[in-house]
Amino acid sequence: MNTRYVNTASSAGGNGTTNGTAGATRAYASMAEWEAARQAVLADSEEVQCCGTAADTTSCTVAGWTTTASFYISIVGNPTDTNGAHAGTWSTSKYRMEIASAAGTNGVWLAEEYSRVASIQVQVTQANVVAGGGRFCYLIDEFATSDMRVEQCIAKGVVSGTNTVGLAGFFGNNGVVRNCLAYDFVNAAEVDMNGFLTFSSLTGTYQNCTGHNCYDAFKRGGGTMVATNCGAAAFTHAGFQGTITQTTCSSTTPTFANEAGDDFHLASGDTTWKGQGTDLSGTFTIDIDGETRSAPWDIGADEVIVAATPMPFPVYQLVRGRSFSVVASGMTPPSGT
Amino acid sequence: MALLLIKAVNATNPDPVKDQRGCYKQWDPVTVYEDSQHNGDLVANPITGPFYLVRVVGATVADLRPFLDPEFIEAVGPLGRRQVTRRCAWGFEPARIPQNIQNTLTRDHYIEVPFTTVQSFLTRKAAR
Repeated sequence: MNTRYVNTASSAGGNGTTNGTAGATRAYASMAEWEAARQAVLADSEEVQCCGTAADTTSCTVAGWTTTASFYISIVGNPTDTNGAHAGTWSTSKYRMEIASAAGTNGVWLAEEYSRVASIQVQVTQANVVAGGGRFCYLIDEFATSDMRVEQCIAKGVVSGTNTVGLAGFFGNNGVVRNCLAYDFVNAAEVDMNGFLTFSSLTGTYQNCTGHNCYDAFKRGGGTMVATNCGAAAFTHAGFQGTITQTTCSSTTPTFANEAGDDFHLASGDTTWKGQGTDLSGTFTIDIDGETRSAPWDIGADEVIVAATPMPFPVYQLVRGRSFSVVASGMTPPSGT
Repeated sequence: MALLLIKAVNATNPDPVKDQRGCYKQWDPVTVYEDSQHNGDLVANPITGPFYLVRVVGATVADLRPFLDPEFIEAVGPLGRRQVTRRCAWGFEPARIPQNIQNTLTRDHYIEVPFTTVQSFLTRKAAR
């Protein structure tokens, strides 16, 4: 595996072999710079780890590579840098891509098979866009066909004005979108605003995804859309639009940790999505935070992790020559993330 | 001012369709940065690898961003979205770049030029 780094605090023109921000080996300053520097016929897998508090403002299209099942591309939020991978909610202290309002522009576009994105945040702004066709935070190309994955990612729409082109968080024609969150894809002027969209003759697979405040949270416009453990909340038109193969999905808004503050972790006391999913541990085991899921699985991108609870009874200690004395007790209620 | 990152070498793919749609070629603009993204100190932060960095005097990021567009056909495919036919619609045309500037770019991978000069180098590939 070749590992390269993107750090938005770096200066342009490094060779990306370290996460540093100075010197010849400094990180690339944007994901697009990494892609242009490294596109090749792969003889080893390629991973790029992204971090930085400044927004990356250029779209990145992964194209022109040759990949295989053994030699694939992986784009991830840096798992070890403080400003790398997000923690399940949109954060301006973590790596993020922010794409301005412009016709035809997307966030991350996977046009090569055997390519993956994980733990990345993408925001697309759309105001009065009337040309260029649909726009997407994450686009899995319908012309590449094998093993394309978007996992633990966040898509956020900032929509205003009059639009006559659609906008979607995840456009997963023939890939797998898993543990992802899409929110705020809604606009009074344009009905084609979707959290998760399939629109081709292929099969898009969605597992444990959450759509919030979208016109349609999940929409099949063509092809086959298979959704398992997916949750649609606070949508304005439909939770699941079109013929979608659904397994343990929900269109009922659950109790989130802080819905008004865009924290869509499940509240520990939720009973709508918590424990209502299908166990997919044969395929994957984590949630949007990277925390290990446990049975019974929850619907949506987040799994409530119950903190270890102290023993709910007094602990007694025998003291020589005296009667029992109570030294500790605990009744801490469970909490989740 | 703004910074324009230019590809200094050809990327190639044995599939000719992939090559045209996906691969950056020498003199293709890759991305634009705010002026603060490099301070011009080439000793501390040399421009390495396959890029030239051009500091464009009198231009903003917004001025330069349209030159990053791919070449495309409108309204095909799902949702009528664009179908890319060439990775970069625009590129520096080598024949328009004076030899002294090419020499500087070859030596330093960095140069500072006015926006009007950059505009005179950039042409639409389809129109060449």
